[in-house]
Amino acid sequence: MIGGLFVYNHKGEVLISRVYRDDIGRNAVDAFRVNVIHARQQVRSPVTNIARTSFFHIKRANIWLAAVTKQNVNAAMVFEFLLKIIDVMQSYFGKISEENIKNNFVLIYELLDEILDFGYPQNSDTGVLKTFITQQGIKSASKEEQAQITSQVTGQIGWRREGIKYRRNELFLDVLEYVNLLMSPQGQVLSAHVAGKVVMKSYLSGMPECKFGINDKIVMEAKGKGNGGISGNTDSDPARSGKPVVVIDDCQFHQCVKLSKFETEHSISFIPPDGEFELMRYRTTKDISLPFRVIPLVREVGRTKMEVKVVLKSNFKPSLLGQKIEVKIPTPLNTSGVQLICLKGKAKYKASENAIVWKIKRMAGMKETQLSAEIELLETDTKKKWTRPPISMGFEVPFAPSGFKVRYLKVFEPKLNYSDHDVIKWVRYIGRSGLYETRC
Amino acid sequence: MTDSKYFTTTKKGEIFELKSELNSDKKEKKKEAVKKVIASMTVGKDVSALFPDVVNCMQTDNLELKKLVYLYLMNYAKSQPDMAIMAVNTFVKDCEDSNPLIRALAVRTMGCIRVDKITEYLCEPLRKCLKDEDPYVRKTAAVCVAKLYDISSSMVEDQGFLDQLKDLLSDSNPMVVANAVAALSEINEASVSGRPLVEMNAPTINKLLTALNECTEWGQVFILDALSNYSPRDAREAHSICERITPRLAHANAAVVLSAVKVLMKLMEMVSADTELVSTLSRKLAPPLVTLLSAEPEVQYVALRNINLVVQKRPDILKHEMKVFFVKYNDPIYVKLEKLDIMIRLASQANIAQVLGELKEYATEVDVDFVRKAVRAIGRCAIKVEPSAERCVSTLLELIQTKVNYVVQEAIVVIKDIFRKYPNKYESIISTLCENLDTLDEPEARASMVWIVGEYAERIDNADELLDSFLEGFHDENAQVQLQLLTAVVKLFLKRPADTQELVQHVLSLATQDSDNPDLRDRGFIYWRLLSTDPAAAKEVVLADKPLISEETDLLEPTLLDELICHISSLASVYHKPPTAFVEGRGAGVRKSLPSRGVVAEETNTQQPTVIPNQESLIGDLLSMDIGGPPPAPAPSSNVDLLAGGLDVLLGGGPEPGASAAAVPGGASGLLGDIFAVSAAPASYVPPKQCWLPADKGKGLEIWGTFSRQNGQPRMEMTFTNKAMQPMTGFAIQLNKNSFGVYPVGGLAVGAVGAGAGAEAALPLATHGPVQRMDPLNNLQVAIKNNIDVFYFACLIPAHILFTEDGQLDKRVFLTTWKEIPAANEVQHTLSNVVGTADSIAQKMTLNNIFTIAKRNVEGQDMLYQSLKLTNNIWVLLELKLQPGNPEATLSLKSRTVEVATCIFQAYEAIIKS
Amino acid sequence: MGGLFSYFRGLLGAREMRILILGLDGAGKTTILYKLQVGEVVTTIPTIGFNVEQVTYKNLKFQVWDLGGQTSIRPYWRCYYGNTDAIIYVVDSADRDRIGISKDELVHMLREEELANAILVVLANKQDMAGCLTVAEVHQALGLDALRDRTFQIFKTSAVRGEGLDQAMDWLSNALQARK
Repeated sequence: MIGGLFVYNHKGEVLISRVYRDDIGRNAVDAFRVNVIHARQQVRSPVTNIARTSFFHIKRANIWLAAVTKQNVNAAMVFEFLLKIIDVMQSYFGKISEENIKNNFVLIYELLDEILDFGYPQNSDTGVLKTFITQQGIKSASKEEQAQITSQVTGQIGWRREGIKYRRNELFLDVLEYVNLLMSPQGQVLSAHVAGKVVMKSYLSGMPECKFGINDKIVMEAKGKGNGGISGNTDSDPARSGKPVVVIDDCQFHQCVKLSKFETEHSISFIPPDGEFELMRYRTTKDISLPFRVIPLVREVGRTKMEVKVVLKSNFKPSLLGQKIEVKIPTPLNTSGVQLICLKGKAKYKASENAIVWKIKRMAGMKETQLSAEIELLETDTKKKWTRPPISMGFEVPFAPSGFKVRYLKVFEPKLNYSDHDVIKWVRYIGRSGLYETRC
Repeated sequence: MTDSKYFTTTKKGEIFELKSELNSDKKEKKKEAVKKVIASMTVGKDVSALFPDVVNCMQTDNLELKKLVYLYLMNYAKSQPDMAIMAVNTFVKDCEDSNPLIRALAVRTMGCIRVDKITEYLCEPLRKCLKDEDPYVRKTAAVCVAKLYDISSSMVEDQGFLDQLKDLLSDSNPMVVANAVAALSEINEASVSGRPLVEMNAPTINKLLTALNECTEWGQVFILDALSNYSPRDAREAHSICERITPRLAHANAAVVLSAVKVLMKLMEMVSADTELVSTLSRKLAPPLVTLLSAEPEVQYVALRNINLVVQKRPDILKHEMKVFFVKYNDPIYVKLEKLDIMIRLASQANIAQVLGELKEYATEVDVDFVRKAVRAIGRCAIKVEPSAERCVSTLLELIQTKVNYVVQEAIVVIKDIFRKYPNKYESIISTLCENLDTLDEPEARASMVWIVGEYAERIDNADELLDSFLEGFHDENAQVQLQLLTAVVKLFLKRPADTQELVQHVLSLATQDSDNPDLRDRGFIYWRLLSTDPAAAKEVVLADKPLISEETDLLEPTLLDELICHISSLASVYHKPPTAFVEGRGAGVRKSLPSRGVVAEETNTQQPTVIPNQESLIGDLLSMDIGGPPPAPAPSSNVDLLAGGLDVLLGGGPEPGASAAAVPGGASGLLGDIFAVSAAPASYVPPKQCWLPADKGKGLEIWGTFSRQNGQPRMEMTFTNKAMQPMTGFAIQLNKNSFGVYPVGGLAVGAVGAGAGAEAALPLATHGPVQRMDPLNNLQVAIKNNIDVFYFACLIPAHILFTEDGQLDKRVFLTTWKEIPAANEVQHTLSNVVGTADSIAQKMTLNNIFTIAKRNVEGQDMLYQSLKLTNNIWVLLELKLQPGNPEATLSLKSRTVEVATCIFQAYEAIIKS
Repeated sequence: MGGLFSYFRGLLGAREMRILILGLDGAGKTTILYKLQVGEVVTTIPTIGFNVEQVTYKNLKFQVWDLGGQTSIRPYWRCYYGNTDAIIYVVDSADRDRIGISKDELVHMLREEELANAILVVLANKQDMAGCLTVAEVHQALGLDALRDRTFQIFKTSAVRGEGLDQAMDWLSNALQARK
């Protein structure tokens, strides 16, 4: 298991050092600094073995977080745990920075003592941790409160406390999709997938049980076959109803979702944490509607000049508006000047990024616009040809490019006096660019 | 409030000042002081001198202060072992506090204070906390048992903590169960005896599976990792565990997913008979593995290293997922390199066009390592996917045109392999390659180029000039290049003796007279001697056909792969090394292996009462080898097995790492046997060759074949005859999955077979490949490929070539095992036309690894009691009843796996009649 | 006197008195501490280390340290001597065999410079046990006659019965106040 955890600043100075196992000596702290942080060349692996000691690290902002062990630990768990620590710290004191870590080092030690015991990760849910790691001492807590805390830390519903009350029961669902695309210069889709997630903000009283329905093909089919008769739901068979379904390649759920139930009954049921959380993540690869298409045209005119033309097409309903559109066209390192003409939005050559950045605030569906650029190059003697990085783009559209739809979200709270109808529900769809690249 | 100020005090006399602050009456001041102490500790200053003063702050009602003091204690108790005793009373008191958080804090911290004198006082409070009413305290106490075990294993065993821990596996709280299982797993792995101290049984497993649904993500990982160490009793249990674990694949935590994958991959071995289940599971495994690639890069990296293993073990799972492994421009380099590796493994005829397109793209990127790997990958595609070879070669040529130094060098190295794989096909590009001679500055590339020049000397007009130009700086070359130069010049001389005599003399003198490198000198002398005494022989040696290079490179050795599959998600799977390679001492745990399919726990039981061979008998075996006749091999035991495994690792895996059950004697004599080519020993029975593939079904290719066992290794022996009008080349063989996991070691060593010519081939076989039950059991389906087509045929493996050298049971073990095996597992068979005496038969059988344990004469009948062991560890016990003068004999067979009877009888009959 | 007394009390209220309870193992130190603090006899186990409690006696606040008496712990007593106002030295009156050791430890301790100004209270404890030494015998055995320049007093007590503790504490409170 994890033998120790170290946090360093960018210079390699130790900010936090917590050793959990006897086989990790003080010299381990220095070994990592010397061999990884101060290493000359670029980090080639997030796992480093130095003298039979393994170091796992992640780097966020200028902060290095390293877990060290001498055993054959579960590597995936170590990284997931390091990421979790980052999460927990962020939710306690915001941005991960040297300043914040120094300012909260006592708190961090307290957290590290709680969430890692002898190198074994323990309950690391922020909601629960915040009930008893407060930096205020808890001697004042009554016996009942103490018992409640411990039952919650170890409880089966470790992510929600009892006795939550809201005057208005309300929930928000955000379907957030990231479209990833790699397209060849000729417009052939090399790979495309949507990484989606459903983020829920729940402000519900008591211990509500929720049932979540989506237009997933498997779920719909299971419904159609399974209990169509009982529910009398006419649109339960996607084939008959003709409603669009989405083929989900794979999905993953927040720990509150009863996985065994999903496996057997294809139903997503859960008791949600209070406030914001990620209910599910999913991935689709079929029938993705790609909101934008970039058509590049690059022409090298002699050794000192290049012409680039980029056509941008929006490919969705004309009534919808795409926003925050940004196209980034890489330029050679020896670029000396760029002349730009664009029909829409603003374009600028950014020498620091070696790219032309073309920004368009809004663009309706089924439109087309273009940019042309003349790039002047300095003459160089490097033999090596410039390798053109792909043109990447960013955007946001108000629909789910995968076709994902929320069908229902029902809330049951048998003990309290409110029903599904009393809950105010909001659903929103957002499609954003992930890695959206076109080679040129 | 900001704590950063605590980091800034660095003035002199700090310790003294802190001391007085720690002893202050004011609580706030005290707390501030402790914080400063902890800050100093963090940055590595020695503040151990404050030990008594900090300890005196322990008894406080301020929880924050208490935690800080505890933190200090954990760090410095070891440096102040005597004084640490002053802390004990506070711990004991805190373990009885009314607040469960304080009780847990105390028991958690106590276990981290590794001072012998203190440990003894830990037991009582720990015992109480393990039975605490509050689950939070119990789950903390459970981990504390593992801490205690790390300090003093005997104390844990003597004080009954193992039983208490085991009881916690049935706790009503899932988190307690999870921590208990984590602690137990650690204790089992670290067990001094190497044997698990607490065995898991089916009811416990059931409880774990229930807790799995309810505990935290981390708890789920602990439970899954523990499950992966459990071997179900039978396929049914394995099946049901699979079903209960599959839902975990949809968990958001990658560690949960990968641990579930590990358990499933392991269990799939056990249920391999149920092909439907296996294919369902394979289908379910693919999506979650792909999804892991959208995780944070560090998690992706771990996932990719594991996918690499999964792809090697079960290529089917991800064969349609090539695209997700395409490299993204912004992927960190470690992700890029891993993706590339997997792309090559998944490359097939179906996707090769896309793969090549990508690889070409990558070959123009910036990172040198990545580019090199991409170029190498193109070459590997050429070798792996034959129809794409031409495209790959032309892509490589295009890359050579870029003149980017390292790209050119890398391309030349792989082109050398392509030449070897496809002789007489792409030599036309040699001239292009030669243009780049001057730019090569890396030894591997230079050596490859030299090899090419030597190998194709007859086609390169100025080969002598080219090689001569290298000789100028001979002594500055790397040894690898020198060796290649020597060989290349000799090759050239043998091909064009007329005008290269001077050259060869020059190189021989360079190698033998002016070099300090013994390898080079030796090789030089050997060539010299050969050339001067027998040029024909020299030709045969130097210009001999080269063995085919295998399609897959960088494949892990199968036993290592199996072991790593058992370690999916762990560091071992990231390093692709067994834990023993990077973990010290007992922490490495017992070597893990996949369950042998179909063979369940019962089978291993029969092995338990056997003896470990002592040193003497081992030596005896080695000596007896010369005299001939398989040695009276001592029966194996699990310990020997481990030893043999260790040897494999030491010997670098060798060509035949030995079936997992191979005992030392068999392995050792096999090795020596190879070296000295013992042929005088009377051989085991080799059935006459049969026609496996008639010429009319093989488009002119006729194959006769049989099986044999030599030096402890089964072999397939074949005669190929080309009855067609054109030469046949590119022979390759594949065996379908079969009941005994038989698969070929290395490729088929058959070069080109001209029209009307023939070739002999002996193919060594190993027996731990994938298993699939065949009917009849010893049925083997074979595919032979050549330049004309692929041909399929089936043959029967005579069972006796699968009898291992260590099949001799101890007398008593034989007796008890015979009794233990139920009568239902006894099969009788009548042998007719038996000739020879009991003794001659026994001798004959011994040669074929059927060992006679005892001989008795009862009422004029000779009774032989014999034992044998199959390569898959199935033991078979035999009783042969002979009546002198009567040509009929009765053979009774007992085995826990009685299905093997038929093929054993066939083999027995064949041997007896041989 | 009254005015003066309250003046002192005001002064003393500002600081807790630091008191050490010392003595061989099994003398009854922990029992005495908790008898003083909560007024009850609690079950105790050997103190491996220390206890520290706030004790309020007649409006005076004491910080009382009860240190374990095992041979292995005695060497660490001196870590606690600094700023000590008074020592309560507990003797098991029934333990005739070790009274000599008890004397040695006491003499050894009183030689420490840090304790030069500390007031000493000796408790001849376990007076409820049959066959125990009398208070005079304890006085004799510890060689208290030889003490010079030390404010001290000996009391016979039985912590389990709660006898004699009040007298001792009364005396101690007065002695502490008078000293100022």
